[in-house]
Amino acid sequence: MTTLALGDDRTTTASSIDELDRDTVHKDAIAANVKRAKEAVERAIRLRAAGDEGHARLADGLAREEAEGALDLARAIDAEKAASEAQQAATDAGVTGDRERALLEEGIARNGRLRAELDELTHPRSETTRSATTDAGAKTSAKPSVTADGGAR
Amino acid sequence: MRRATKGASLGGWIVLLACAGASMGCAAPMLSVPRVSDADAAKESPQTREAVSLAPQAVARADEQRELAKKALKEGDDTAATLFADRAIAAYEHAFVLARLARAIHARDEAESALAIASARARELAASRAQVEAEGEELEKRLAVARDAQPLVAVGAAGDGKREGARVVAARALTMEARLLCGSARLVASDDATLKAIADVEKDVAGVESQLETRPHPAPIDAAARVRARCLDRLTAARRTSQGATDGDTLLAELSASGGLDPARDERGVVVTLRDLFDGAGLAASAQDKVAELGRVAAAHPDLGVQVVVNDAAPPTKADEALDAKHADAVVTALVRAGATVGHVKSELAGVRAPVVDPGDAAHRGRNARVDVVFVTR
Repeated sequence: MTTLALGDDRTTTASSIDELDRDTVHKDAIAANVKRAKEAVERAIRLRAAGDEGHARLADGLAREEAEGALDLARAIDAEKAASEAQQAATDAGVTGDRERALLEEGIARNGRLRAELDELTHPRSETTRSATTDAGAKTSAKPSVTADGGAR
Repeated sequence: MRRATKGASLGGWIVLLACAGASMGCAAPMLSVPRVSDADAAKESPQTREAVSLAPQAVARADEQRELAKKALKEGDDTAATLFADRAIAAYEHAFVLARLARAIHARDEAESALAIASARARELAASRAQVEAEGEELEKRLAVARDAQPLVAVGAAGDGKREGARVVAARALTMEARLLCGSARLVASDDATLKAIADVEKDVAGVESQLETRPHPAPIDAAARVRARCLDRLTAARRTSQGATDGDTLLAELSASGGLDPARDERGVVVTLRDLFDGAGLAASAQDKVAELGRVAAAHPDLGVQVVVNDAAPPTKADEALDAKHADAVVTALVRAGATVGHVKSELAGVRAPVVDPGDAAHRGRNARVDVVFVTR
C-alpha cells in the first residue's frame, strides 16, 4: 500500500505513471485514474508556468493521489482474482474430497460384502443359518468385523 | 491564489440557478466551488462508510483534505479549495480501493487456508480409498480361490463316450492351468516356505496328470479343478510375500501402446500370444524383433517373472515334444539376450492341453499352435 506525502510529489508521480502506462493487464480498469493523474500533472505545469507554485504543488499532490490510487486499484484487482481462484480451487478440492469419501465408503461396503461371501464359503454354517444370511446379505453376518467394516463411518 | 477553474465556475452558476429556482437557502461554498460539495457527498457515500473500518487512515487523510478545501474556501481561495476538494475526492476513492484490497487479501488468505485443509482432506481420503481398494482386490483374489475350491456337483457316470471324452479334455485343461499357475507362483515366490508349499501342490498336480495318462476314465475333473484352485491360491500367497513395482494395468497399457502385441490379462499377469515364430528349431528372422521387444520389456521391469508357454495344434509325438523344447529354449534365449533376467524366465510345454479353439475343429485348430509369453506380476 502506498502513502501520500505533501512534499515534492513530481518524481514519485512520474514514476507511477510510467508504471501504469506499462500495465496492459489492468489498462481498462485504471484508465480513469490515469487520465485524471495526467490531467493533474498538466494542471500543475500550467500553474507553475504562470508562477503559481503554491497551487502547482497542490496539483502535484492530486496527481500523486490519483496515480497511487490507480496502482492500488491494480493490486486490489489482482488480489480479488487470486481470492476468486483460491476459492474456486478450495471448492474443487472439496468436491474431490466428497468424491473420494463416496468412493471410500463404497469400497468399505464392497469389502464388507466380499468378506461376508468369503466367510460364507470358507466357514459354511448350518442350513438354517445359511438361509437367513443368504436373504439378508452382509447385515446378518456372524462376524462382527464384517458389519463394522461394511458400515460407512 | 484566486483562480477558479472554468468547470468549477460553470458548475457554480448551475447550482446558483438551481437554488434560485427552488427558493431555498443554499450554502455559500456550493455557489462558488461545487467540488467542495462533491467532496462532502463523497464523504457520505456508502463506499466511504465501508472504507472507514478497513482503511481508517486513508479516510482520515481524505477528511483532512476536505477540511483544507473548506478552509481555503472560507479564505476566498477558490483554486486551492477546488484542488483540495479534488484531492479529498481522489483520497476517498483511494480509501475505498484500499478497503477492496484489504477485503480481497483477507478473502484470499481464508480461501487458501480452506484450500489447504480441503486438499489435505482429499489426499487423506484418496490414500484411505487406495488402501481399501487394495484390500478389495486381495479379497477378490481370495474369493476367486475359495469359489474354485468349492466342491463341484458330483459328476455321475458318463452318459455317453462323447461327453466323457469332453470331460477328459476339460480335466487336462484344468490340470495344465494348474501347472501354469504353480509355475507362475514359483516365478514370484521369494522365500523357501512359499516354494515348499508350491512344490506340495505340484506333487498333487503331477498325481492328477498321471491319472489322466494311465486311467483317464472316469475323468478326474473334480480333482483337476481342486489342484487348479490350490495353485491359484499358491500364486496369491506368493504375491503377498513378495514386492513388485510393476502394476499389471500399467504393463498392459505399455504393451498395448507398443502396437501389434495385443496383450491380455489373466490370473498370472499380462499375456502376449505369438504365432508363426519358428523356422526349423530356431526363431524365424521375422519373429526375432518381436521377441527381442518383449525381452526389453522384461529388462525394463526386472520384478516381473516371464513364463514362456509353447502350445501345439495337434497332439505332439516324442519328436514334436523335442522340437517344442527347442522352440521354448529359442524364445527364452532371445528374451535373455534382449535383457530379461535369466532366473526370471521359465518355459512350459503345454502340448494340446491349453487350447484356445476346439482341437476337434480341423478348420481352426491351427490357431492352437502358439507361444504365450506371460509377464507374471507380483
